[in-house]
Amino acid sequence: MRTDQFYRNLMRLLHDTFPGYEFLVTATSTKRDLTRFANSEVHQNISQEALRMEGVFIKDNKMAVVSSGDVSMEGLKKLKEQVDEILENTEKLNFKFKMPPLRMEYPYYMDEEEMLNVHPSKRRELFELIKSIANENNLKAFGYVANTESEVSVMSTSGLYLYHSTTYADFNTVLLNENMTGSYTSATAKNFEQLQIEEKVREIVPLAKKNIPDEEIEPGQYTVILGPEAVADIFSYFVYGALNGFAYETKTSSAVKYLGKKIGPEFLTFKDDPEDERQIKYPFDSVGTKRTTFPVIEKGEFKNILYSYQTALLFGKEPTGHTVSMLQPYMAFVMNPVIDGGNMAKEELFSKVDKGIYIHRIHYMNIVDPAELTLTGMTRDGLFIVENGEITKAVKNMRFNVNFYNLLENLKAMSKETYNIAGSFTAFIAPYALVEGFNFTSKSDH
Amino acid sequence: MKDILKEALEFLKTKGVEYADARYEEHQEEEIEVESAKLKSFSYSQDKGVGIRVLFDGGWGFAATDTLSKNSIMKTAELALEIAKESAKTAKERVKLAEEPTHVDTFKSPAQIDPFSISKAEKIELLKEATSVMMKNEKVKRAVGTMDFRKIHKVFVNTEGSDIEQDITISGAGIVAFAVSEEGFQVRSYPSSFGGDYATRGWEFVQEMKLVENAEKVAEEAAALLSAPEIEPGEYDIIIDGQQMALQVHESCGHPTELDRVFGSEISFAGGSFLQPELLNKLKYGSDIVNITADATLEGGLGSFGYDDEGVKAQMSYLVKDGLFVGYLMDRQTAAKLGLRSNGAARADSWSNMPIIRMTNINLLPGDKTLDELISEIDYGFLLATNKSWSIDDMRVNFQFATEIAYEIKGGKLTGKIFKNPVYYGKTTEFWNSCDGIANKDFWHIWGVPNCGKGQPGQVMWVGHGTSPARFRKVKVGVAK
Repeated sequence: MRTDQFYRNLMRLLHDTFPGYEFLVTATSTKRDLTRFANSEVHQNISQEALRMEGVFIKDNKMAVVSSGDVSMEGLKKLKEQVDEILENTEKLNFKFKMPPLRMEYPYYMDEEEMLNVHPSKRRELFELIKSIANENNLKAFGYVANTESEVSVMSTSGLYLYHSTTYADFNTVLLNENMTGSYTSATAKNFEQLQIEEKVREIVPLAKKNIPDEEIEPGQYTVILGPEAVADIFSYFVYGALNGFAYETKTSSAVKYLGKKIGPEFLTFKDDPEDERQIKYPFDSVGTKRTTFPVIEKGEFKNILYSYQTALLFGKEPTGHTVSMLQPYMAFVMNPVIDGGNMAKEELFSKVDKGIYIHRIHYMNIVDPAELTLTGMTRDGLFIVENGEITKAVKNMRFNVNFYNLLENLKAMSKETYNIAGSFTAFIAPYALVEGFNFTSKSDH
Repeated sequence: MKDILKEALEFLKTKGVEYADARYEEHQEEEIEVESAKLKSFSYSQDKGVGIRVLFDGGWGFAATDTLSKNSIMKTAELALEIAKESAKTAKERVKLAEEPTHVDTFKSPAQIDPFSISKAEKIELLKEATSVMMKNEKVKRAVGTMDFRKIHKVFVNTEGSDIEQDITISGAGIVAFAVSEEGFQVRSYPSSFGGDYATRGWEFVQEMKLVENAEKVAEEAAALLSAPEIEPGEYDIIIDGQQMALQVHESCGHPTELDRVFGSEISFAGGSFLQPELLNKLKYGSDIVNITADATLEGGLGSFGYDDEGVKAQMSYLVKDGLFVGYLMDRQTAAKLGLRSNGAARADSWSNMPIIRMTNINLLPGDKTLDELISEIDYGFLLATNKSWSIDDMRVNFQFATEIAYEIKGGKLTGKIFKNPVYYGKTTEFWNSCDGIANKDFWHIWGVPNCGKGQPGQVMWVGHGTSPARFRKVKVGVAK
C-alpha cells in the first residue's frame, strides 16, 4: 500500500504540473497475487503491482482524457505535452463540463491486516486444501486462488479529495471426474476465511461425481432451475446490455421499451448495493460520486438505469455513481450487484419441479439482438435432469436463446438463500431461480 | 534498462534457477471517438513496466512492477524467485522447455506513416466527415467513428542469452451507423464491427479504408434493415463474408488449437478443447479445401511480430492441412510435452502479465473461386456479412454467430433483398466439412481482432485472421423463439 499521503502528494504534483487547468483524476494502485492450477498442479503463480492514473483535463471547456502508469515528474511532463496537443486540436464540448463539488472525507480504510503482504505460501496451502478434497474423491482440481490489495483516490481542482483502501480474496474451482466433466464453484470475499473454500468445494463434489452425461435432451422449451452462477451471468448481461444511460438516451437500448414498467414478479429485486456485508464495497465511483444502495429492479419494476458522470452532464441527468473508468467516460456499470433472496427456500424451489433441468453455470453468453436483449449462451460444468425435486442425472450441454424480459415474465420463484460468487465481471450475490419456458435451441457433444 | 534486466537475470542464475526471462515494455495509445460529427472522446494513455519470469525446480514464478529503479527490479526478481519456490513445492515433475536457439535481434513492424505523426485534428476531421455522411440519412440517429493507435516497445532478455528489441505499431479504425425507429434499432459497421479493422501498420492502413467513401452505403443498409424481414429458420446454403469468417476461424479453429487449453490450463475460465492430442494427424477437421495456418510473419497482420514473449522467432505452421487437423498453437513448455518445437505463440498483453498461448494470425488460406462463382452455385441461400455476436461452448464444438445483415441469393444471383438479425449455428467439424468453396486471393484480407480475451488474470490480445468469403452447404440459419 502506498497510503493516503502518497495520493495527496500526487495531487500537489498535478497542481504544480498543470497550473491553470481544471482536472478530475482517479489514481489506483493494485497489487494482485494469483496462483492458478490445472490437473491438481500449479501452472501459474504471479504477483502484479501497478499504479494507474486516469483523468480529464479541461481548459476553456475543451477536454483531454489521459491515463498514465508513470506519475514521476518526467512522466507527468510527457503527459502534459499530450494534454496540450489534444486541447489545441479539439473543439469545445457541446455541454458545459462541470467539476464535482468540493468534498473531502476521511479516508476509508477497508483493508484487513491479514490480507496485506500475503506470502505465496498462503495460496499454496489453499491450493493444497482444494487438491486434497479433489484427491479424496478421485477428482482433479482446476482454478485459482488470489488476493488483492487496492487503493483508489479521486482528486480534482474543485477541491474533491477521496481515498479508500481495500483488500479482498477470490477463487474459483472446477472439479473434474474421469470423464473430464464436473462442477464449478467460486467466491469473492473480504478475506480468505470468508471465501469458505473448503465448504464451497466440498459442496460441489456430489455434482462433479454425478456429471457423467451419457444422455441428451432435445431442443425445446423447458422448466429450468438456474444455479446462482447462471443467474448472476444472465443479470450481468442485463447490466451490460440494457442499463447504460447513454444508449438509453440515444434510443439504442432495450430499456427504452421497458424502463418504468413491471418486468418481473414482486419477489424480484436487483440492486447495486455497496452496503451488502458480503460485497467488496466501492464507497465512491471513479469520479468520486458517493455510492449508496441503488435499486435497478424493485419488486419487479424496472426502476433505474445508470448514468456515468459525463453522460449525466450531457443529458442533464444526475450521475448515479457508476462511472467505472475516466477512459470510458460514457460507460456505467453496477459495481456491487445483489439480487435479493426470493419467495421460497431453495429446497422448496426444487420441490416445485416434477420434471425439469438444472443449469449450474453458463459459458460465453452474448447479445444476439441488442434491441430486444436476446441472449445466447451454452451450459457448462453440469446440466442435470431434475425429477420430483431431485437432481437425478446429467445430460449433455445445450445452447439457449432467450429474451431477458421474457425470462423475467416466466420467473416463477427465487430462493431465499443467496450466494456470494466471483462472477464474470464483478463479485455477485445471487439466488437460485425457477424459470418456465426456457428455450434450448441446439445440442453440443459433451 | 536492458543492463538492469540482465543484472537481474545474473542474480537469478546465482540462485540456481533453471530458466528466467525479463521483459520491459512501454505502451502508448491514442483513442478517438466521434459521435454524429462531434468529438466524443480523445484519450491518450502511457504505461511502462517490467515482468520477470522464473523457473525453479519445476515451479514457475512471475512478478511485475512499474517502479523501474534498479532496486525495485532486483526486488521483483527476488519475488518471482520466491513465488517459483512455492510453486516448486507442489510440482510433480520437472518442467522441460522446448529447444529454441538464442536470438540477438531487433524487429520493427512495417508502418509507413507513423500514426502518431498525423495531427490529432486531421484524425478527428476524417471521423467527423465520415459520420456526417452517415447522419445525412434521416433514419440514422447515431453515427459513430473510432480510431485507435498504439506503439509498443519491448525488450526481452533471458538466461539462455537471447536479447531482442521490438517496436510494434498498431492502427485501427471503423464506422458504425445506428438506424432507429419506433420498433427498435439496427446497426451496420464498416469495415468491421466492434471497433473496425486493425493491423500492425501505420496511418496508411486507415487511409486505405476509405471510411468517408463507404459511409453512405453503411447508413443506407442500416436504414433498410429497419424494415427488412427475418430469415425463416431452416437449413440453407450460405456464403460467409471475409470479416465474419475471421470470427468463425477465431472461435472454432484458433481457440481449440491452443495447446494450454487442451492440457486444461483454462478449464475453470475460458474452457478446454475438443482437439485432444490423440486426434492430431487423424481428425478430418474440414473438407479437403480447408487449410488453416498460424502465421506471425504476415506483413502487417495484427498478430504479427518478430519474436513471441518467450523469445521464439515468428513463424508459419499449419493447424489444418487439406482438411486434416495437423497442429497446435504452442509455447515452449507445452510443445516439449508433445516432443515438438514451439511455434511461437506465447504472448502477453502487457509487461504486467506472463505470456500464455495466444493466437497470432490464424488464417483460412484462399481457394480458387471468385465471389461471383461461389454465389452462382447456390440455388437458394444467403450471403451473411459482418459479425454482430459470437458464442461457442467451452470445448469449442457448438457455436452460434449473428451477423448484421444477410443478402438473399436465388438462382445463383444476389437478388438485392436483405434480411435482418441473421443467426447461424452448428458444430465445428460438421460445419468445416460442409465447406465446398473458398474465394481466391483477390478476396483475401487479414482482419484484425483487437479484443481476444483469455486467462486469469484476464489478458486482451490483438490477433489477426487472413480470410476470404467461403461457402458452406446446409447450415442451420435462424433459431426458434
